[in-house]
Amino acid sequence: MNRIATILLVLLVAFPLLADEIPQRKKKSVAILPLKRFDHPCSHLFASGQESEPFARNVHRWLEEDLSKQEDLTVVPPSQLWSRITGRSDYREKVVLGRERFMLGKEFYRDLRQADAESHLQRALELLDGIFYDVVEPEALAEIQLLLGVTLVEEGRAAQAHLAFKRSLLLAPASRFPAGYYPQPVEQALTVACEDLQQSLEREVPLGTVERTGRLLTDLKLDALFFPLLVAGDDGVELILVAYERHGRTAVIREAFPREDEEAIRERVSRVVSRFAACTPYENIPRKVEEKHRFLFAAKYENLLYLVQPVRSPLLAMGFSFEAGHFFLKSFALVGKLQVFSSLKDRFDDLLSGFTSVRLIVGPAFSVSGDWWRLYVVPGAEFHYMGSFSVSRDPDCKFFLGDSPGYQATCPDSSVKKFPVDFVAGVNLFVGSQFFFADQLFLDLGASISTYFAPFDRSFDMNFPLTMEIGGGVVF
Amino acid sequence: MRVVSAVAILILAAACSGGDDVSGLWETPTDVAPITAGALSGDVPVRFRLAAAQYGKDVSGVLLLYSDDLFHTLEACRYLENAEVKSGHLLFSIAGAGEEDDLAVDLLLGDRDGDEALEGLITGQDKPVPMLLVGKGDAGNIHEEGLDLGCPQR
Repeated sequence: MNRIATILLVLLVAFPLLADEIPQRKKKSVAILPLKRFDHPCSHLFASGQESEPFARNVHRWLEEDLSKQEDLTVVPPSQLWSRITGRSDYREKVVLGRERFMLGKEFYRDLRQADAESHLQRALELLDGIFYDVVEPEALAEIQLLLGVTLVEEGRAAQAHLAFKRSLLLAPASRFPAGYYPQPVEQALTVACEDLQQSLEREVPLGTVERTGRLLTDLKLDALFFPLLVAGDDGVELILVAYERHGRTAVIREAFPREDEEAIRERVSRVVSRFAACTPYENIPRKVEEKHRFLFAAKYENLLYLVQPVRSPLLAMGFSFEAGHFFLKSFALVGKLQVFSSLKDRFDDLLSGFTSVRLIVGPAFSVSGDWWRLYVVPGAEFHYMGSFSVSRDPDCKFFLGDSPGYQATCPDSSVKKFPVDFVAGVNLFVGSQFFFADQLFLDLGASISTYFAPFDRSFDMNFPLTMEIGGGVVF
Repeated sequence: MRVVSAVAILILAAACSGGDDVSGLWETPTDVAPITAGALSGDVPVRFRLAAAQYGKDVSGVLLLYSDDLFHTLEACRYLENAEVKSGHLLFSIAGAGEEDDLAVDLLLGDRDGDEALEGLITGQDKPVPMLLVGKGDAGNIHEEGLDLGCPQR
């Protein structure tokens, strides 16, 4: 007995709590692009060799680990990122076209036709930029930018050449050029571009512009993108973490800290990630209708038809239903309905006088719902008060006014069946649907059928009322 | 199946009744001369008024016979018995005069100069009595004239 009482107590306490769940956040998907190193001096541009750096791999790993720890973030691995880019329908076609243009540009450059070379190289960049080839093959695009820069130098367009070299070095900062391979003006322009880039790195957008970064995020269905950069600062090497969000107009994170021992850097990376996770705005997952409220009130117009009745034609009644519900769980509620009906004339006027009936229905409601709709079923107990009425099939009992000479002369008592006030009880099954047209308001449509089994002598001649209901309600 | 039928009935709640309807007030038209209805009218020329209400095929009402000349005063009233509408005919019987047997009435629902009309015979006496009635009102008129109270008790 005590055990049952305990279970009931737990259920009573737990049900309302379950209905009060905090809305769920939509997880954000983030990705990290490989670390780019700008920490070598520009004098190394024309030196051979390239040092490998495990630090770059470590920074990527720390970032990935810290982001993965965040409950509301999902890290998209680089392989998946690449396949999302290369899996686009126009990717292969544009790569082929872009490469063809590059080859043509190269041919024209060799033939000393710089103007033609430039237009083909620009077109190649346009095609490849459009499919974010610089994310997948940054070195290939850097090569095109480099050739464009060289072409522009030879055309005497130093300013444009500077931008092309700068972009080339931003794409592939590890590029090295054999000393003396390029003419002296080109080497000089490359060095200037490198120095300029190193000074402006803190302001550079790794993918060119914020808009382009936003477009990439949208195309790849990402919420944020992290760019780790290693740069040469005033006081030595610095790690810069830059992050962009899909709809952001600027970088959401641009954090620079000196390269210290690995533990200290790791700690700083972790803090940046925690701050990002805490400050970035999250969208709530839209709650389903059933999660939005605990109380419901509705009013409906109803038509009722008794399938079993004492007259020869369908006996209809019209009325109103007032309902209240309390949700104990997302898809479970207790519902009470109070309905008032007034009978309508039947086709043959067998119902000599109209009657009013009132019924109370109480039961559990089980529902399934979407964002703006709910389907529900209520199996309930019904208590029905029915007013008195009388019926007759004798036309004389209908035509002549009661107590008139005509009535007394032609309508014997035996021709009239009288039904006194009665209470009946039974079960009701309601199936309904609600359509939410505003946050808390809904349109309600439904149908129900009842059967009465009390009084048990089955003397009652009216049974199986079928109703159709339409109305509206409010939830809160 | 019954539920499906019931739903259909709910949707078409105001289903048309269809068929012939003799409900209303009927009178001998003024351009028709009064006629003698034998023993029923005491050989006095009379006109007829019929107040009827139809419920399905069943009909209830009263038939009045009255004289509108200056020389006779007669007003007889009969309840319609076993009245029904069948194939466009209003069939009923009325009590005969005195100890006579009931008289049968068969009226055909038709048209006279654009008005609804009931035309037929009263049989059961020596000579059938022709009867012609045209529509003169509805249930409201019947109630106003107190015809739904029945025949006055003498």
